[in-house]
Amino acid sequence: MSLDKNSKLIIFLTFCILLFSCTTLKVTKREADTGYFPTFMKATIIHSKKTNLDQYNQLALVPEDDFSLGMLKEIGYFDTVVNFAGLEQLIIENNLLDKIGTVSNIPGINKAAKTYKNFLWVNWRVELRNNKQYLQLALVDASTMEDLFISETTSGTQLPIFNDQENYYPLMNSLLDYISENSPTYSISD
Amino acid sequence: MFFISYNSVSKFLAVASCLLLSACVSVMKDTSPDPNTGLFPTMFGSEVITNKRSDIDSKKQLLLVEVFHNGGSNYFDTRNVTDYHIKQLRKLNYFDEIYTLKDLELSIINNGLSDEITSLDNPLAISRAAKNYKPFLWLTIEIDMLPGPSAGNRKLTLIDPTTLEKLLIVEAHPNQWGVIATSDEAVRFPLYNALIEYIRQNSKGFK
Repeated sequence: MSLDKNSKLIIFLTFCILLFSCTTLKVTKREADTGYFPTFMKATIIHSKKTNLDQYNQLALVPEDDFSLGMLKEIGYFDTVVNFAGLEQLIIENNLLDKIGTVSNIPGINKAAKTYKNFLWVNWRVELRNNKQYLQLALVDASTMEDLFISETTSGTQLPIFNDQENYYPLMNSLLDYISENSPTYSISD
Repeated sequence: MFFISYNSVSKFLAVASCLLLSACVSVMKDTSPDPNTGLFPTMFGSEVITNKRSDIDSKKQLLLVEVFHNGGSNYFDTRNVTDYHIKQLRKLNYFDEIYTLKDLELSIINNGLSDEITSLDNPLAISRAAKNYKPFLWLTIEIDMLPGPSAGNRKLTLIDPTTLEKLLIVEAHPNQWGVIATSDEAVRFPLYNALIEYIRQNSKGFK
């Protein structure tokens, strides 16, 4: 099979892109000088409510994946970061099994916040709008189920394919900004 | 890609047909452990991810077995698979009784505890059953159906429901030989054997 010059160039460029491609859901350290996660992109802030976040900084609930758990721990603001399995274990350790039925649905999570300890719930949302997929990071006050903070980035296409450098890290950086603006005790560069 | 030659295709076909032809390949076949070793016959191993010591003898009166698919759960019925796993696990002769989730629900109703224990569809409810009904062990087998390098992996998890602590997590990777193998020898027996080893380490009475 003989290829013309253009085809060879296209194949070469494809290999370059594959070799230097972005990462997906890789837990990383914050950069030492800026305190942010390494990316050049910025997320769009959809909703941001002024509040004193220090009333909730004891506990954060994250989805059942290692990435969310690792990144929230790396932010270093919350005393304890748990996923759903971790919250279930905390409930059993504190003898609240008979009071809290389940944390597998929204009323159950709300009940856990009221009965056990108030916490912030971090979750991801995916939305199709104007023929583009958007990935949102939302921070929810579990005792009222009110959204405190929502930011978003887009995949640029109709496909929900997101990566760290364009989507996950900018969203995490916007969360860092929100925490430092609303907490009297936290600063990003510490 | 351009680089897949006829040579590599024929090599793949040769390996695949060898696997199909060889006598050891079976899918969900009724097999007993080898009387000499007490283990299920397989040349495949498994990866132990978590192994925590625990007094399992006090909970051996009942084992709850749950099988689920990670992805594609609407399309695949797990009842036959669950029945097969229960039949094989009975051959360990360690657990007094082995239940499915439905068996446990019926047993709770028959013991007049349905007011205290509601739907067993989440971990906290199963924990409440262990506390209010009777102590037991909870075993889940998770089949990865999501496309990607982990497709076809099986994960066995043994959980103490009173604390929801994961005592044993073992994974079987059928893709480790470059061929997706779903035979008992590749994905089921290695998990049973890891469970047998765990029981040997943690039980006083088990042979």
